Amino acid sequence: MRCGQAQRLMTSAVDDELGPRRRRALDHHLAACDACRREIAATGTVLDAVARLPAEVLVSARLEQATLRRLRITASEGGSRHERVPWWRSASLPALALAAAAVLALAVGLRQFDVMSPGPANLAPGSAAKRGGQAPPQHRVPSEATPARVARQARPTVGEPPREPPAELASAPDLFMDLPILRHMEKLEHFDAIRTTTLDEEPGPSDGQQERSNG
Amino acid sequence: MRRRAALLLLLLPLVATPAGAQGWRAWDQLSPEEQRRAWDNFQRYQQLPEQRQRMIERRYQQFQTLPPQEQKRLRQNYEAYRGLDPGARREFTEKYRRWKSDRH
Repeated sequence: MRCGQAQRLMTSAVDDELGPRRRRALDHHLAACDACRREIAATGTVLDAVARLPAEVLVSARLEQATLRRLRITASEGGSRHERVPWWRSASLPALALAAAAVLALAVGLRQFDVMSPGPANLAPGSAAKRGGQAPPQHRVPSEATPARVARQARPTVGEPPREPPAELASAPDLFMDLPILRHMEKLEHFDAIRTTTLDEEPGPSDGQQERSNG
Repeated sequence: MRRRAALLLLLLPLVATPAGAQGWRAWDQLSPEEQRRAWDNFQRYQQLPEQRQRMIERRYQQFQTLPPQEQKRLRQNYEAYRGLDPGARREFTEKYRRWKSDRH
């Protein structure tokens, strides 16, 4: 596996949704590739730093995705370049992490400023629907933010399971086998209702009662 | 340490009951691939914030109380969710947020 492929798989790995074969391939690559390991570690450092920001702000899903994508692309470019010219090796990791953290903090700060200013984007999601507008999807990024968790989960876990597993694991391996299901339980419980939810149309007065049973 | 004790306490009934009687498999009964998956997930679980771990424990308890057909349905939905291509998954995530905001 090349660095570019590993980059693409990381998104799915973050969501814990890689199949076992791909997961193994990614782990195998990470075990052998310093650059990708450092990249994940650096990303984790940055996101941890962002997660420790005191403010709880509303960040649009689009901004979050765009920022993460940008980080990934930047890291990816670094990864592909390092195969020819290992420029990043000359840059210190803390410096890179600090720079990325500054960019993210700036983005969050700008967004916070934007959130404070009046406009349809600042309406509560429900009220936007009632007024006939379509607010961009937003979600909270508290101090213990999703991206940080995501980064932690993305860290490679290289190594075979021990012969004697820890007591928690040995006592209920199914809990950990089903961890991805437990993580996404709400989505899975209402899977069909969510899939049939419309994004384009504005919900009318009675449309707010979308079908939510998943019978 | 307290977290570990709490989790062990939670899992105590499971430890006290033979795995076969619960319809679950013991660690030794898992295939190497399953052991690896459980081990990987266990390591990720340990890295989650405590709040998130508690939520998963609650969901685990909830999951155990579901009838088998409901558990099966969730597993099937998870497979469908996993099978979504990146574009479809993004759309699903948007729909999920929309659905959730409509719900509250």
